[in-house]
Amino acid sequence: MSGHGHHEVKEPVGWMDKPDTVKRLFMIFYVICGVLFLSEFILMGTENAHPHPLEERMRFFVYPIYGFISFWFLVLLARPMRTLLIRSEDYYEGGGAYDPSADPGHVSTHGDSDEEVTDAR
Amino acid sequence: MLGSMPPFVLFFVGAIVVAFTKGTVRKGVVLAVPLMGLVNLFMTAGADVGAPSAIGASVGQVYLTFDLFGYELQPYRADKLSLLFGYLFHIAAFLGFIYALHLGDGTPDGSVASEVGEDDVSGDSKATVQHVSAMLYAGSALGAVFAGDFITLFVFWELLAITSVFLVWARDSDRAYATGFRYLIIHVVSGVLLLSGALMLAHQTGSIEFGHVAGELHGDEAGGLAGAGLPALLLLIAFGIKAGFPLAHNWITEAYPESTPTGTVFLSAFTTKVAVYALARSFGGLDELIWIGTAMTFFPIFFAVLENDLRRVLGYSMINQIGFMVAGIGIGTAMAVNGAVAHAFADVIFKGLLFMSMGAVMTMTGRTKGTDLGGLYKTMPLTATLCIVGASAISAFPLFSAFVTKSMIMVAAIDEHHYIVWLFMLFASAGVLEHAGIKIPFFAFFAHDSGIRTKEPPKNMLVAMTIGGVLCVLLGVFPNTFYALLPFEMDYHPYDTRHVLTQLQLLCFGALGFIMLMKTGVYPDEKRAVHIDAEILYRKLGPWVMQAVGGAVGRLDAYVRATVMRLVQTVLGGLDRTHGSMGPLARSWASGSMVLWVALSLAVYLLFYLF
Repeated sequence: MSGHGHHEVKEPVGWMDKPDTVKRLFMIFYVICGVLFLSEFILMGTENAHPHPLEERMRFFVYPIYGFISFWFLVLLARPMRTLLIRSEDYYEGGGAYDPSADPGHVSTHGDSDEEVTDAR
Repeated sequence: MLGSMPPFVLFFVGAIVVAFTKGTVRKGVVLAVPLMGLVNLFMTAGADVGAPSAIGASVGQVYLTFDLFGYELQPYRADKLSLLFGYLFHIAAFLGFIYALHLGDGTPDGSVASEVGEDDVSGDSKATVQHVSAMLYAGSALGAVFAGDFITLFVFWELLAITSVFLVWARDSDRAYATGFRYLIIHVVSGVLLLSGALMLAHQTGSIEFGHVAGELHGDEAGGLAGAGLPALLLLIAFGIKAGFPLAHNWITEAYPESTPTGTVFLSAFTTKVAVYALARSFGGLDELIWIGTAMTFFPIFFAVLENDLRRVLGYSMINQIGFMVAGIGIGTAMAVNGAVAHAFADVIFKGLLFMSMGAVMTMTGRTKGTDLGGLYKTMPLTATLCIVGASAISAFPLFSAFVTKSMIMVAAIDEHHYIVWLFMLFASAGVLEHAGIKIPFFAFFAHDSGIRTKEPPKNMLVAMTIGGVLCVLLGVFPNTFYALLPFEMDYHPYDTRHVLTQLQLLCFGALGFIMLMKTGVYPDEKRAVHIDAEILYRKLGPWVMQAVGGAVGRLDAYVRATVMRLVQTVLGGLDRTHGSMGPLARSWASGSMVLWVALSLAVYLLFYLF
């Protein structure tokens, strides 16, 4: 019942801490993407019951390209939006503009934060 | 079984019992009420209600009526549309109560919430308030979907607001109280608009039946909005406020992150879905809804990318998902409306699961911001896994629920030649993957290690999340069993090679885009900040205008007062000079001189008389 039970927990090492595992996972994901890209050849042989003009015009690789571009478009538009709309956390309680120097960013409750913040991006 | 008893009654009685019980008895009651209600509904109304013949036609079964001032009230009417929501709300209440079962048992073991200065982050001391209000809230939602007339709907519409605000206030912080009041005001306004629209409609048509009114909006004849359309427009705005239409959407992103971990799970299930139900019942096929819905799918995803508070991200995600439903209702074909209500069903489960996983994180760590979290997969692996299940479901991966529900709306959009709408929706689908599919699990459980070391949440939370996760998969794997419950006849098969492959292509290449955005550093960091949204209108601009107007009125008032005071003072000064203690008219006169004056006037009178 004690609120400080977490101190007894040993420092766990997760699979994300092992760069090899992470690298392997990324490789698997890239292979999946490659296979899905090639699956376009299977799609060529299937009938489209609900054709959209975009599919009729572009013919091939509509969905992978659309998905990829959507993410970039989303983020590239969100960034200038942030510049325009960002305010301090207490904006509605009387605060004002956002002050980057007052934002510590990611906080780690254990010491080695330097390295962590770099790969947090 | 109790065939003609409206489903809400059981919940309202349950709430009274919950208020006066404790411990195991209460736990038994909160779980038994939704289960009994579900079985009762399935055995009674579920057994004898057929499908509506066409969109907007109501051929439901009326189980209870009574007369009020010549109007027929129908507190319990069921058809396939209301039944689906009825089942859904019972399931949502059941899951919510399992999730909230530990309330009142004290701080969960291993919680590090006290580190951030919030010992009672789950609102544990407010267990009774939370259990009772959640029970009444679920009952009100059921009352609203089984209402057969607008007056009954109005009563439950307001009850939804009044009962749920306590779930926000249970957080017991100044911020939560302020947010709760704003939430209450917005929802009461929605109710007032609903009542006004309903009364005007009753005046025009002589009926208060809660049915299809979309035709009224355009006016069948020349009347247009100014004629028959005004009551329908008022109803549309009333429903729209609760559904989170653009500009009226911020109550969602304000209240959900301010409530308790368990409170938000209930909040996310009922209010907006009642609004979706009301739109489907009254405004199916209204063209304007297509574009309103599309806008709702589109704009929140940008805010979701930037937002730091992960429960607020889920709030934006909620608006985005409701956008799909609203657009589906607007398209109005059998498949589109089926898709909309099916997606509402799936959304309550997967969004509930996501809110539950974030609630579990909040209960155990006291934190919900991306900047404070990360690396929790090491200590909360089960929660992380269940969160990923919810994330996969909302992202519409094949074999998960949204894949079989959202696609109906999108196919209907193509079939009805709404090509631009479809492109927006496809973009929004990628956006869902970004903020709900990747951002939520990634920033909470992976990303950089925040160093927080805690434990899995209490068992009841894990059980609720597991059931939610299983339902997400079951809906995705056995769509046909689920489709049989949908209100309209249709022929749709989600699993064909093309649909599965193209969806996987869209999602995986979107994710590839995300990886590249992260690796190149283009993806925006989380910041401890807020981003201005429409709420600025009533949280900053409104008060500012009030202050400016108040200031101007104050200055005018001060000027008028000063002028009048000066005038009064001038008059008083004048009077003082003449009648004051030293004034000539206030001097005391000796009685001898008075006698002299009387004698003199008599003498003058005598002179006039004699001559």
